[in-house]
Amino acid sequence: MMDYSLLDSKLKHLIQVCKETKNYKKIAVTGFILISNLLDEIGIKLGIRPHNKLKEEKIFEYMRIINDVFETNLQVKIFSVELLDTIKKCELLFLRSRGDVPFEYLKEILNAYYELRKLEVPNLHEQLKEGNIIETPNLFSFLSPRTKKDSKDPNKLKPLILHKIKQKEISLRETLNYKFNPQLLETAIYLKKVRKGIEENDHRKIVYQGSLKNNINYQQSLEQILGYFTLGAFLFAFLFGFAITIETMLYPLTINTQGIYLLILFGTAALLFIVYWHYFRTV
Amino acid sequence: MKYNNRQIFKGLFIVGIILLFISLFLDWYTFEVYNINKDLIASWNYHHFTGWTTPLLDAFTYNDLFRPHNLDISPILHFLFMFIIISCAFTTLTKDVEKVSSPQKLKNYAYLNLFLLLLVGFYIIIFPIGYLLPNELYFPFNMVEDHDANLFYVYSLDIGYYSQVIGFVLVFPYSIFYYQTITHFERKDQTVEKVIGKYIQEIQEPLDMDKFIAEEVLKQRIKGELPPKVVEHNSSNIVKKRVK
Repeated sequence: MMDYSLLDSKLKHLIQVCKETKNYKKIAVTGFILISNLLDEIGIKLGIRPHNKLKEEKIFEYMRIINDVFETNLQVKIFSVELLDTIKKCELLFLRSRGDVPFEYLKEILNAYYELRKLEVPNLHEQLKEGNIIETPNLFSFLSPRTKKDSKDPNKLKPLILHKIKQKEISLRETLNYKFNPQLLETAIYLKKVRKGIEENDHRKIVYQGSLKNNINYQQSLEQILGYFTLGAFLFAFLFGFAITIETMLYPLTINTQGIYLLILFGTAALLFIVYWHYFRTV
Repeated sequence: MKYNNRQIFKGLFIVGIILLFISLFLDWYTFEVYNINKDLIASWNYHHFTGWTTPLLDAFTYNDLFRPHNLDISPILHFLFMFIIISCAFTTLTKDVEKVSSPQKLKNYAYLNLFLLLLVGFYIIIFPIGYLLPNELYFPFNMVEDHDANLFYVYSLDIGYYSQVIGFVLVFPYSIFYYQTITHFERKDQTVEKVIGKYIQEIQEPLDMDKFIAEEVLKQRIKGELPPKVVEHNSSNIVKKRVK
């Protein structure tokens, strides 16, 4: 978390001296610069472009863009309507009066700045921490290999998992719209990613931070080695059986002696395939 | 000491690699001829580097008559195989997927392991189908009786081939796991946060509050209304200088 103590102390000092010199314009300018900078930080952390100052994009317009992006994608509002209206009212007055805003508006500008600071949005460029995911053990237990073993067709679980995720997303959305919480927002984004991944059934890479050894997905993948061992033995039995089949086709008289090898090899291959399919096959 | 699956299969991979290497120096195929009294009259063994060799002495006059045709496998292939085996053993021992900073860096080694599997596949499948069968050398084991000549022909794959098979089964799991890990996992660069932080700083509007404060303090000084509180503040160097 960022340390704002020095900035707050300076701001307090500035307000104090400006009040004495009656230069409220300076407080207003400082307030808007602080808001603009904070919004840039919020926007970038959320993966949105920064506030376009060159094109004279207004602060409240940029806030609306952030809200629109998150409403479209997650049905979640980052900034409350009240906060947006306050900033809009103050900014328009500030622009109209060329910085000369009444003293009572300054209070609102600074209040809006401190309200924005409370948001503490997550940095979506960082790895989402699995510890922040609420109730994930129950939710993602559907995805664990143990459950796969019990299911004859893992694809049948897909709608159920999607339903569970969607339910969770709706509840998170409601909570977030009621009260903003950075952890919940992170969870909502994570769930959306998971849902998209399941829906698209894509093979995107698993991104991890720190040590590979400590990654849960990697630890789960270790169980797969035994499956690969079964697969390797199956491949040999099947291909060697195939080679003997060719031999018997070219030299039909050898079928008397080769028959037993064919039986053993294809029998072993079938057994290994069944073992692999039931216990190690990934969705 | 507790071992996990990876360590166990890495050990098996090394054992497999050793078996694959040794197999090249062992006999791969045996062809023997017996007479009606079950006496050995001809025996030939196939070795990748020396071709057909016989353990029998010159006294066995019929031995040469039963010598199988040369299989004509290019020795370059065997040398390439040896090179790949040594490279894979070296990379597996030195390039640990868990210890490397980014698995992506080991991509080429993963492909090398896959190439090794391909070559082993060639020796296991293509060797019998493409080289033994055209020369009427049956596999894995066959005994043919020639009633006219009163002879028994025994055809069998030898220890070299079976070592290759065991080697394949031992090498396969770790090779695929290595490949899967490298292609499925991507380490996120930790400097990303630093870059983002730097970018945020760059695009933010510069705000020099010290300067603003100093300007206001100066205004007050000119008016002669400077309160003692401002002089005491130590966060601004400019203020201090101005006050002096």
